[in-house]
Amino acid sequence: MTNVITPALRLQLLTTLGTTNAAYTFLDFVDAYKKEMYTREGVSDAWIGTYRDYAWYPLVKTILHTSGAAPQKALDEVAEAVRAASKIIIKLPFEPSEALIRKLYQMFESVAGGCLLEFDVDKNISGGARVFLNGKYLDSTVATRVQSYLNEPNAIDRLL
Amino acid sequence: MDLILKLPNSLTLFSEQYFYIVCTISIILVLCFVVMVLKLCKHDTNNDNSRHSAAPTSIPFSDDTLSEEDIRDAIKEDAYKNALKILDDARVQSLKILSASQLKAQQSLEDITDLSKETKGEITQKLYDIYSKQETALQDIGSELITSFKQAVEEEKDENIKMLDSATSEIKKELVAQVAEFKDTLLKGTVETQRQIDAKLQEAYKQVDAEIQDYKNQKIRTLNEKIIQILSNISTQVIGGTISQEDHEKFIYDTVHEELKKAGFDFKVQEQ
Repeated sequence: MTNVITPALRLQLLTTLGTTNAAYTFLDFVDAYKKEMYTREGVSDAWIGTYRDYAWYPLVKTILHTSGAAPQKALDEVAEAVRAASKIIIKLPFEPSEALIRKLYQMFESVAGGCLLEFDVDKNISGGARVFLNGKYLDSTVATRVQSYLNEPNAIDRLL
Repeated sequence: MDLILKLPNSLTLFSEQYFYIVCTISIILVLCFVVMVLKLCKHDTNNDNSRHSAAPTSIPFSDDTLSEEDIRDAIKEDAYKNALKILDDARVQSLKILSASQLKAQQSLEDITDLSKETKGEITQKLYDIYSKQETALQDIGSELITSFKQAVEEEKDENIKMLDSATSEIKKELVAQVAEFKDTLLKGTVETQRQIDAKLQEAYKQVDAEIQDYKNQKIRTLNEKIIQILSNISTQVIGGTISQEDHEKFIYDTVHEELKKAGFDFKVQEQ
């Protein structure tokens, strides 16, 4: 018995999800879908309703279609792949735009492969961001950059 | 032949001396006589030897059978016999002389015992004079001895005084040397103590200096941190308040990209 989720499909799914928030919504959908399948012996279009608006829904539809007689198993594999994905936490002073999320995801995907971004708004950060990636801490806040700049030899003299 | 010396029963000092003198003279005379006889005998023996070597007629042996050594032994034996005979004669003569001298001595001693009281008194007087002279001499010797002793005591005293002077000067020298040594030791000790104090002071100065330097560095570091904090706060507040979100997002993307590069991450996919 072959797996439904191929590496390419997994990467496509994670790229489509992008953030942990989208992943949580997706996982909620999977749980609800499975429940609906057991209780009503079939998922109606009415139940799907609003889930159609999500970017990942067409992909889920494709997976369910290709799974044939075992949609529940396919959904379990998909949910497991999403849960196992590595998380990259990014702290920002504001809610990031979708464009920034996409750009950042592409950048981190090229570095860490399939992953999920978790954005955390921190008002203490006035400018820049802090990133926790694979156990590493990257600080690109303005305060830290200014400090590191001023800590360089003869920084004050250069400024004067 | 037995020789019996008849000695007087009671001998005085003079008679005994006289007896021994006579005996001695007699013995010397006898010995001189014996020596003379021996010399004469030797002379005769030599003559006999010369005669025997020329014509050995008196010894009954044949020229062919006896050797020269046997002839010499026979001559020696003959000479010894003659010498013994002469010695016997000399001994007889000496005994005769001794007995005569003994008789004479006895006679003289008898004469001495017959000395009159007057003579004894004179002798006693003479003895007293001798005793007096001896006493005087002894007194003189005593006074000389006292003088010598006094002189020796004086000399000893002078010597002792000199020795005491010498010892005093030696003690003085020793004391001066000890005082100088003590002074030197004290000076050395003082110098050493001063050196140790200087070293301790230097160490304390160094320690204080290091502490001051540490404090200074710490203060500078704290001030720098405060300055940097103020500057960074100003910067972030100014940036955060003035730039747009679009620019801010661009700034975030650029800085995160830069930090990833600094951290050594590889970008596998070409960025858009």
